[in-house]
Amino acid sequence: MTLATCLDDDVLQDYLDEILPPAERAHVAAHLDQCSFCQDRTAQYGDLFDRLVAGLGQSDGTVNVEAALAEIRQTPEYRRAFGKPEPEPVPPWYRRLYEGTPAPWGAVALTVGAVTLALGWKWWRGRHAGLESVLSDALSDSPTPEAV
Amino acid sequence: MVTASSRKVQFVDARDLYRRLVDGQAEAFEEFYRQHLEPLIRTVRRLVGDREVAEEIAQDAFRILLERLDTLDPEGNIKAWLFRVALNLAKNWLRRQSVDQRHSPVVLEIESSRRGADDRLQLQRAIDQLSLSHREIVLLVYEAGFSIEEAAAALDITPPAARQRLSRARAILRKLLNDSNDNQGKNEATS
Repeated sequence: MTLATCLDDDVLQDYLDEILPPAERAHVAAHLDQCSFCQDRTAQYGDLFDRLVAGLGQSDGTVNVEAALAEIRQTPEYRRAFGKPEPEPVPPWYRRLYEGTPAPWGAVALTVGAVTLALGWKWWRGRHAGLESVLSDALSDSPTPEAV
Repeated sequence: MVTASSRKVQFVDARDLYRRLVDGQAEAFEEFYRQHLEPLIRTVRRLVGDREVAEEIAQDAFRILLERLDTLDPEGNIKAWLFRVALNLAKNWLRRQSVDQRHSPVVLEIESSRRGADDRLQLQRAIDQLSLSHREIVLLVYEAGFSIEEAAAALDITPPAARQRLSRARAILRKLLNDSNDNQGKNEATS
């Protein structure tokens, strides 16, 4: 049976999309119970709806959400928004030599190196004291440019 | 299928999430990100026709969201706001590319898939023939699962205008799909 006041296309589609207010939905359902013409149209529109839902809105499972999230955590926007500390700037090469070692070790290595050099110098001077005096004599007795 | 009642529950949950997000809780942002990244990429991909571009645009939209976090209204619809930003970025990209023959990569993906994908291919072609404004609303509602009110917020139009635009888009789709079926029937009859 076809009723004189058949349902509008949009109303039918909204009914299928379940976005009608409850009162209107009940009215449409009541009409559909009696109207074969609108039942056929509903079936036809339902087919479009089914195709839309089947063709769209399906996860293809190819988005790696956690990897993308890890990427966005590294952005300055994320750090600023949530008060995360900015990454440390890359230190110069000479600092990187000591990177990862406890702080005093660099200083200890430098001190030991300096003391070793000083002691070595003192030892060398003691051992070559004669040579040093000959050298200083030679230098002091060397003729002046005027004498030459 | 998302029913009206389940949408309402989602909305209540979303409100709490938005409050925590605007409050600056990183966990809330990450939850929001996990919920919306994939639908956002799918929607944008159908507009720009390129998966990598869609991923970049989605990521950019989230970065803009982070930048504007303190200006957002927790009582507003942040999901709709995010999609609006992404759609605008996608439209800018399309404008830059001057691409009007859209979606060829998507069509190829569908064409190369298994049998039984004819329907989806036909549907994709029909969607491709819609105008950008009609495509946007169809994708927001059917791809991203937006309600009319959310789609309206995302497109910055009133809900009645969104409903009208969706109705118009569906009417065009119905016609395109019917024409396509008729042509297919004729081809089969002649062969």
